[in-house]
Amino acid sequence: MKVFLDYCMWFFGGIILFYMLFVIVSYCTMFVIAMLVMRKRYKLDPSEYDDAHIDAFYSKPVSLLVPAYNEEIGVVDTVYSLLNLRYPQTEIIIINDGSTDSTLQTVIEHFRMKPVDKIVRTNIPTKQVKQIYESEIYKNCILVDKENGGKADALNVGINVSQYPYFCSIDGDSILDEKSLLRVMKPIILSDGEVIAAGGNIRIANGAKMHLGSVTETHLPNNSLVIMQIIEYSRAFLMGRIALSKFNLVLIISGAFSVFSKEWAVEAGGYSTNIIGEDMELVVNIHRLVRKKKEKKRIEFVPDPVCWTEAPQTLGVLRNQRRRWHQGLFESLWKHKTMTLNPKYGLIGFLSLPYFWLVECLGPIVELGGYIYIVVAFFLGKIYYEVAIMLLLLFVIYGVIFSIASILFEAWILNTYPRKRDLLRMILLAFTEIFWYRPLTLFWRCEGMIRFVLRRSDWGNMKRVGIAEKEKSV
Amino acid sequence: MNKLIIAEDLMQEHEVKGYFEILRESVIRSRLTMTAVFFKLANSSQGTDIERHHVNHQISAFLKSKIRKTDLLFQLADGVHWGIFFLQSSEVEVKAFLKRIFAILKQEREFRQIALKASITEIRNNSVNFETLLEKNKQKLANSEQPTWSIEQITDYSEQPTEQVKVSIIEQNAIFRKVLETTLNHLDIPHFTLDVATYEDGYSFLQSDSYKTGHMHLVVMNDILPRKNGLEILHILREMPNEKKFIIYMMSERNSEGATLNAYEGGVDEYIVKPFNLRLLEAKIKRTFARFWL
Amino acid sequence: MIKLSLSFLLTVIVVLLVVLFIFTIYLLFQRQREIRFAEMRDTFLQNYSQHWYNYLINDEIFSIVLVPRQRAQVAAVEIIFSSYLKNIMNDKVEHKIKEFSNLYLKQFYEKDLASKRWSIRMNALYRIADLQIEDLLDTCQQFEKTKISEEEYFQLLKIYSLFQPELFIGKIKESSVHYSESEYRRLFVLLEDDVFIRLFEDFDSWTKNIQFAVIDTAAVKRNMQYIDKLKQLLIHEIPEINIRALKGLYEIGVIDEIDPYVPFVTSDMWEVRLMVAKIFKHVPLNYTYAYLEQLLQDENWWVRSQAAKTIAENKEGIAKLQQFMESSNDQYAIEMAQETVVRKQGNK
Repeated sequence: MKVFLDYCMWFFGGIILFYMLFVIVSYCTMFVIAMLVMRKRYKLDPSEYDDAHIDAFYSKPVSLLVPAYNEEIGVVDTVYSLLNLRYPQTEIIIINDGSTDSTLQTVIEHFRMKPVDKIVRTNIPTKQVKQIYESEIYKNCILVDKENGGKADALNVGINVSQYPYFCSIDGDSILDEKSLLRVMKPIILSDGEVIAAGGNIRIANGAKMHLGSVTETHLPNNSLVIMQIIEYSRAFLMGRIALSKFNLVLIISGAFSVFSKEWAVEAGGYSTNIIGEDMELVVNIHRLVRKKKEKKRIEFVPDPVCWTEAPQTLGVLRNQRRRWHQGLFESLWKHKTMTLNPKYGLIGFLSLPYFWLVECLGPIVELGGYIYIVVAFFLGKIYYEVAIMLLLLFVIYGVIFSIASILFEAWILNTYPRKRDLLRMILLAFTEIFWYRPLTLFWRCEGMIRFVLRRSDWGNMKRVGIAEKEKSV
Repeated sequence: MNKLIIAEDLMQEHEVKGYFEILRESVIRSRLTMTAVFFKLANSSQGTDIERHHVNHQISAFLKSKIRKTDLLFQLADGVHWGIFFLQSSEVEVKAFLKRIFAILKQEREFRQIALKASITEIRNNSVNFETLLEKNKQKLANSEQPTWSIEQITDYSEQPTEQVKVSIIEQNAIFRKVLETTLNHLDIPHFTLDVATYEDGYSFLQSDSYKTGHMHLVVMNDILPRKNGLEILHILREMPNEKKFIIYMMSERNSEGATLNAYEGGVDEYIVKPFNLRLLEAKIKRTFARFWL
Repeated sequence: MIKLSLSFLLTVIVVLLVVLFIFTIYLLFQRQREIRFAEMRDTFLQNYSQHWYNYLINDEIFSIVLVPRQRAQVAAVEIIFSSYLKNIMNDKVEHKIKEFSNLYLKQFYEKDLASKRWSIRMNALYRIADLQIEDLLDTCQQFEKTKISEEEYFQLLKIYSLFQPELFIGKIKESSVHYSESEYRRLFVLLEDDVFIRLFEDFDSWTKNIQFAVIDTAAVKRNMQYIDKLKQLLIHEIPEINIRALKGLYEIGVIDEIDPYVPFVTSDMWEVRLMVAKIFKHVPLNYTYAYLEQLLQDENWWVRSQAAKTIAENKEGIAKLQQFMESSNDQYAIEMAQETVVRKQGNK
């Protein structure tokens, strides 16, 4: 028995150690790539590009899609921030996804919506559209009232109604910077359409002073839980997004703010309605399509902070969010499992998908195992101390050092929180991450996985949850 | 013995008196100049009663046939003066009118007995009352040295009152805002004083309440503004009951046909694409105000 | 082995922590400097904005206080200049800004061009073009010989196009770097007409992106002399160029004859047919109705829709559509006509 336990401990300890080293090395690589990419832009004056491209002559018109399900509070501000976008040609399409609150009335009253007859071309089959309205104040603002069908269905309706070659999906509760669209469209314009989808860098709005769709000041919020999420976002951004984007390996661009070429999105079948992570699903489907048609197209991530969104403030909501994210991730990866290590899909199959499987998806199990190992080793006595301590040190590198590095690097380049006090507070809090935040999120993500495994059988009648639950992929 | 000859179908002095006050006040309110013309028979003492009677009728009928529906013709109590109030007409227009009818009168044989002289008073302020107006004109026309068919002028009331205009500049760029402010502060528009205020976003403008007063209000704003953008302010202002008092200039860096069209449909008076010429803006504003008075 | 890696790990952590600590200190120091920089810039703005107004707009005499003495003040002057240039169009102001920049800002940008940082060099190149610092043209040409990025080369081209169109055309011809259409448009749109029209000469020698950008820029310049050039491109063998030329002609909106467009009604590509349906907006309906009716029965939704819209825009269009609905038996076309009529009447 003792021998068996011994073997077990060495075996698991070895696997976990090896895994941790692997993850750390891959994160380090991505961090270095991100640093090289970002360092170049340090202190570059971005307004030059912005000013040149405000003229309709250089840009392409974009349809902005705002799906709203029970968003009576947030939707008006979101639309305002869209109206304030500096972009030559846009149309705003608000899609009321059969809300049960007064979303429809609020929008109608606020923007003076009048019913209109409009010819809608059904590119993607959707639920029934009840009525289309047009604003009296803003001629480019349209409201579509439809039967409830979930966020993906609402977005598909938006795509059908839209008249421009690009569309941008925006969550009903996020606020955009006035230059967001200009910047997110930049790779698309500059590549003459070689980039067919682009996502922006999502920031957490808690603590920022906002009024009528404009962010006036950014302060670090007081809630530690929110600060931890801010650190997490910036880490995901530096150790992941940028590096993946450089090699056209992006699999997730957040649904909270991303632009797609309509042509490609429609051909990829639009948003899938029967899956949790519809944004990831669309990206993967587009990747598949690109490979199938053997065209040279890219999906990019734009490092500029562009979209502000409210993060969960309480453990309960955060738990829900993370569980769903992870379930969604697992579900999408599982659905496309045949792509993994499939030579047909090139680097996506050999790098991107394995990365998501090993690091993002299965990571929590191993890491949580590591935590359990440390606790168990502590009770089993001296002989395992060394492995445990090593594991602990790796956790320190993985959790603390990477976090601090991201905080500092982001502060250097983007300077989102200009106050010195805020910076120091973030650094101090990063030291505590491995003791509470990390284990908690790991646990929730494992829960998500278990839910995925258990729910697999009742796919078809999985209940749709509204957008109001505020879920955004990091 | 000079029997008064009254044409029955003509308004009389005492009847017009009450109207005059209303007309005069509406001149101020609507900023539309009114011009009064008084005629006098230059040869009133000649001829028999019957002849005079005939002449009188002829003049009344002739004048009546020539005036527009917006002009008010009346006869003075003394029987030898006629007056016309030309609404929404300046002196220049009225002079042209007089020249025209005088030419007809001189040319047509049936009018050969008639000889008239006239005096013109352009009215742009409300410091005149009916009696003084009559008195002054009668005096002018009483001058026997004034030749027949001549046109005299009374300029005492042609000065328009100085009106205060509120100017709101809503622009996000601080330096340009200041430029606009200085430029508009230095803008010299005759008969208007500009009271310039600046705002950096739409919300602070709406908070200021300055747009709720009855003053004429020139709004120079960007189409894209933080917190309530230009198009929404446009809509709010144009929805107000006295929206006519707003003159709205919208500046935009968006050079697309759709945006321009939207703005005009929404009710802007001018849509200016940035960058623009400041002098052009000044000229446009001056022209806008010049149009207010005839 | 484990013992060794344990101490190794510890060392790594300590080293990393120290590095991060130093970086933090550096960052805080840097931030302090940034704050001071911003303060100085803002003081300059506060104190001298009005002076600048007086000098630029009111023609007051130039004062030496306007000259920036260090970086923060240069930044302030840059802000002032960009505010003026972005919002105000006035030759005199532009001239004064140019003169001033050539005299007093030149040395700052010259130094920046030699910087090791790519972003600093880029910023300098932006300013040289924006503020028209012609005196640095030679420096720029020297700079071109060093190892520079594509972005920098693009900015150089922009600078050449402003100061030395001849050089610009030459560089474009020999350039091995390829830019996107929108970038070429940015280069072409500022060219004087006599330089721009030369791009139509040996049109076929250009790369595709340049050809497209030339066509689009011609359309936006709305100069009558380009209409003939575009019309010549209608018989070009590459369909994409035909489409672009059609689009350009549609945007200029001056159609003096329909003969060159008629062959496109029966084109194999629906995009071409769509453009023709659009172009006919600018021609009286009685010349084009026969063709539009044909397009109304097109197999492609967009073409049908556009044809119906074009017809409906005419005064007699609605009547013609109604007439068509009664006589035709093409169900799709009838539906489109029906929808267009309903919509048109609904908007009244």
